[in-house]
Amino acid sequence: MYSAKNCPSNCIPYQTPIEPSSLSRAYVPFQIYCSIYGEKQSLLSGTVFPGLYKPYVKKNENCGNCGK
Amino acid sequence: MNNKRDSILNRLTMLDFMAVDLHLYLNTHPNDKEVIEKYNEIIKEAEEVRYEYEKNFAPLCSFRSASSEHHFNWINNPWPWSRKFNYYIEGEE
Repeated sequence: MYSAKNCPSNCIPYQTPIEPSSLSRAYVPFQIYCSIYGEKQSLLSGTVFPGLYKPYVKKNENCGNCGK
Repeated sequence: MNNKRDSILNRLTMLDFMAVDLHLYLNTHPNDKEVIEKYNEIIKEAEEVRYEYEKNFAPLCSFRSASSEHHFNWINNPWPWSRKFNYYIEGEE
C-alpha cells in the first residue's frame, strides 16, 4: 500500500520564491515533489499530489464569506 | 456482485491512476529519482494485480493477453466498460 511519505511539513510543493513576473504574464510555479496520497485517497481526490487537490467548495449561503 | 473481482479491479484502478498521475509529473521532472522509483514500484505492482485479475476473471484488454485455446473469452460479458461491471468506491460522492 502506498501512503504519503512522512515528509516534513515544511515541504513546499512548488519552487519559491516566484520571481515577480511582469504585467500580463501568467506564471505557474514549478512543482516540487513532497509527498503523495495513498492509493485510495489518490483516486478519490483525483490526484496523487496533495498540493494539487483543490476542490471547489460551495460557499455557505447564509453566512456569506465567513470562514473564507 | 463479485467481491473478490471488484476488490482486485478496484485496486488495479487505483494503481493505474497513480501510475498515470506520476507519469504526468515525470514528463516535466524526468530526473526526479524518488518519483521514478515510486512510479516503477507502482507499475510493477499494477502488473501483478492485472495478471491476477485476468488469470481469475477475464481479459481487460483484447490484445494484451492470450486467450484460452478453446474459446476467445474476450467476447464474453461483462466487458470492462459496462456500468454493471464496475464498482463503487466507498466515500465516492
